[in-house]
Amino acid sequence: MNTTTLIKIFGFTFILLLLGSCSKDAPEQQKEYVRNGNNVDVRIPANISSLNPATALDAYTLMVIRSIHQYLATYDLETAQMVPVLLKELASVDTTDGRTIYQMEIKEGANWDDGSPITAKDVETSLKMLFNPKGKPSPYRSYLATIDLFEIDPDNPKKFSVGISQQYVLAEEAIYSIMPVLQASKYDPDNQYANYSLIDLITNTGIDDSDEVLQALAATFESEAFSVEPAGVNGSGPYEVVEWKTGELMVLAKKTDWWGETDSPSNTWFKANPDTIRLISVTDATTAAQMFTNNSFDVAITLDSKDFKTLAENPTYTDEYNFISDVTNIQYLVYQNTKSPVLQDKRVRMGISMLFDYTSIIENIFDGLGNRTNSPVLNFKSYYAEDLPLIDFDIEGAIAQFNEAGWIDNNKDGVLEKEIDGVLTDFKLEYLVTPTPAAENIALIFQAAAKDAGVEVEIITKDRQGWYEMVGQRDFDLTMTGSGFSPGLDDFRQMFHTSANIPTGQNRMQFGNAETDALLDAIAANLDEISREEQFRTFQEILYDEQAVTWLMTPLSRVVIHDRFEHGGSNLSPNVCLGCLTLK
Amino acid sequence: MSKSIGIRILLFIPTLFVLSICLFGLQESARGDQVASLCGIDGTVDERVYLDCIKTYNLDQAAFYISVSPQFVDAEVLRTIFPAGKKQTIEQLAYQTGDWDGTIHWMQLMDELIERDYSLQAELQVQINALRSKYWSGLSLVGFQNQLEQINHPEVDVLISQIQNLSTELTQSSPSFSDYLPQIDWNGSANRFHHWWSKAIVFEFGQSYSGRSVNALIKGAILRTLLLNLIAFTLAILLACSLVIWSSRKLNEQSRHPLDGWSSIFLAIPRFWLATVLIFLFANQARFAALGFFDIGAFTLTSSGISLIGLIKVYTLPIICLAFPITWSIYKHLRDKIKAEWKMPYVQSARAKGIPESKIIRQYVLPNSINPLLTIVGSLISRLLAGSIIIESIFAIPGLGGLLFDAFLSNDWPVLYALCFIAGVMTLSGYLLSDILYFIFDPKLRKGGMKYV
Repeated sequence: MNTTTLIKIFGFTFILLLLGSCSKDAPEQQKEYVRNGNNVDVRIPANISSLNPATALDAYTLMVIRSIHQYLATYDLETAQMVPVLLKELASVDTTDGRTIYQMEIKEGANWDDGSPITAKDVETSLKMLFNPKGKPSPYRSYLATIDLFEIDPDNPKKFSVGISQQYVLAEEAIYSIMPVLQASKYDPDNQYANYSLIDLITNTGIDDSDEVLQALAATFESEAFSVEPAGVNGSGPYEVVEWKTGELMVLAKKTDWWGETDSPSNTWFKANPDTIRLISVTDATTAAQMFTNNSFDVAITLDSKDFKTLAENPTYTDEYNFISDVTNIQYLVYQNTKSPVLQDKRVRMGISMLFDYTSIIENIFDGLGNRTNSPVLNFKSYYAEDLPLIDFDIEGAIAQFNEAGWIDNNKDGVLEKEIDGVLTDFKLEYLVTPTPAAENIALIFQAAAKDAGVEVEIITKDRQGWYEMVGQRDFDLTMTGSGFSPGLDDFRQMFHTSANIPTGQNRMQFGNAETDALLDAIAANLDEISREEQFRTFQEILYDEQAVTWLMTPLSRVVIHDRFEHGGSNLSPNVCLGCLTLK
Repeated sequence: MSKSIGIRILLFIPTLFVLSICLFGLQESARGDQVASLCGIDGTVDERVYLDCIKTYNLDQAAFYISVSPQFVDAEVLRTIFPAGKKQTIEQLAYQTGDWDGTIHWMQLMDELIERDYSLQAELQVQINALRSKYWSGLSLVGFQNQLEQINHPEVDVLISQIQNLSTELTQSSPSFSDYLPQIDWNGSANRFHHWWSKAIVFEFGQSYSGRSVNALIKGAILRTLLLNLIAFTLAILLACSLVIWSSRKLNEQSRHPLDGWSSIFLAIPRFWLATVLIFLFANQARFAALGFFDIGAFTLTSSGISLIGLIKVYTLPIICLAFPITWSIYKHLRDKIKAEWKMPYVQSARAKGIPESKIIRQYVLPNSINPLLTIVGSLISRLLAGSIIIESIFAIPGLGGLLFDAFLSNDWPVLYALCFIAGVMTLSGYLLSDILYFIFDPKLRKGGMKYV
């Protein structure tokens, strides 16, 4: 075989590959594509890999699940108020001796796509699927594990009661919106879940280890047919998945004759304006910005902040697009390890908070796309403590705080020192970061300011897993992270209660004492809105005084929407209500 | 020839087995709690959920067919201790003291202490919570002693003093030499490697942390990567051979051609930079409307219907990026070899006969210089994934490279190891193919068999 033959072989292969890649389906695909009209092309910065509602965690997967399924009730995207979706109205609540019963009724007219009514049995079966002990353990189970009663009204299959064994402020929200209602006859056509009580499944009592029926039911629920295949993933929501190429494209089409079309026009969960929503996965930020300039999208979610800012200042794009920066439910914060020998004094922690140049961080690192905050409560909530002053960048003020706490540079070496347990200790801090540009730059800005204040800061960079390990062992003085907070009611026990001070718990600051624990427990059990809000404010004051957390900023959303659509905004991550987009 | 190839294929199997052991070892030693990742749960869930997960994914079984552990550790019990941090504490304590029964007794007392209901004693509850934090973080016994001393409450005094006494007893004991003699257990097929290997060998890679089957993810991505790389590779060979023939036209007059110098510079250009420049120039309709012919993102094919023009628009730039360094790598190797061949007597003889130089190169020199190309054919298959990682991410093409990149960012080990396993199989196949090609193209090897390879 000589070179000429070799070249011929390669040439032939090349042509064959080119020709072979031309699909025979081309004409059919061509028909489906309509770039304009009442269709929306949306860039999402993530790959959706499964639509199983029991295991879905990220904002983009949940965005799709909320479009194809429905919950009993959930937070309105525009008002952030709890609104009924499948329920006729929000539950009537009866609390006796610390036990709470919620009575609910599903709307008349709420139907599945095959025309059969949505009933309480569907709700019960959905919960049974969530709690099937033979299934993959869902992270959502713990929110509903206190259910000790589920009763369907014998006279009205749409009416049911749910009992909770303790008084808990988020129990109602969890019942409404943790699990969407799934069609029982679709997942369990032989009605086999009827042989198991929900409470037995929750408590795993009387369930045989080798129960093959439950194993088969769990396998069905988790199968790709019901979590990936377009035909199987759809529910009672306004849209259905009609095409899905993993890592590339998902097409949601509006259902014809959907039951909720005229049900509640003001409720954002009943808005389904675009005929087709195409979710395009582009994970690389530069590529996304480039594609945006090529007019590849109608909606671009979470563009890189620099690209967003540059494009928003360019008249070529501002003429055609609306650049929306809404408040998000994310906060960037710095944990201060309150048990670290150098950070045990709250005056020191206050001094540390004064060494962050907030304005510079927001302007230079986040391109101005962020708001200051002073508490874990999102600032649009009624119980946000707006009276608490924002902490300013103030090196002199920080030095004064340190001096007051006994840290003084007596030996004039530029580093403050103090005697701790009989040992003269230099003021040195370990600042743990993950290798992201924002985290590293914030640490560098802080390090420079701290040096001026006589504090030596060592920046330790660890990958995500290493960060979790060190933070789990509380092996740090300071560390930055981003954290998502609920748009609804807060249960801060998950972050500030001493019981959350476990390696995987959120109380990474090791904050808390009997007083704060009692206050948090009281808030969680208080169903009276007025006194609860007062308790929330008190807690924010304590937190402010203690400075276990330095609240850096709340980033603003970076959503771009084509001018041919009107959009009302959304408080729920990822800050866009796709069904609400109205063609002008 | 068939015997030699047969031997190669037979060697393929043990090599793959060793590769699997290495990969599995890596997977096992990966940091983080596998249970938490596989089931999407954290240490705040109750023990039952955690143990369910352990059972579902065979994490209660030994890692390999043979397990080696010190006499003082019951590995089976250790594997089911919840949560991961507490397991670490117990393991450390057992290694420190060499007293497994004492360690377990200590754990039971500690569990009793932290699990009691202290709802009516708020201060005590806070102290117990702090203790639990240490207990679940893998703290040493000395650390607990300090923590325990701080708790002073009549309700737990007896229990605390029991724990302290036992702790003192344990700190005084240490493993003897005989305790360290390994206890070797045969676990039969009830081990995690067996489950993994028996599936991996038939390309069944289980479930990704995202909940999808790894096979489904790979199936959706592999065709694009193959298409991209095969076209890029073919193009690179054609281009490199053409450039070599062209630059060697006047080899007799000038032994160096300007392309020789440029090839080193071109070879040093990073793919991601080239990709960014190409996108900026040729896929930017807003800035350069005349040049911006190309598209980014495989989704545009789905949108506009798969056609030859569509394919060219989407795949041309990534193919150029992939082909560019390969072209110059082949060029350099071929060019060096051709220069060496040019001095051979048979070339001088051909030139003396008046055969044109371009013909000498095409018909005589190039076939004799083909060896570097064959080497690259073998190694390139193993580089398919590596080359695609950045390019597929930049051009939004959901292929294997993009999948690997995403899996790496999200620590999705099942996907990572499946792709590494596939890359390993591809590498071995590449070298096998390379050997076969050597055999076909090199008459010396054909005569002498493959033992020279």
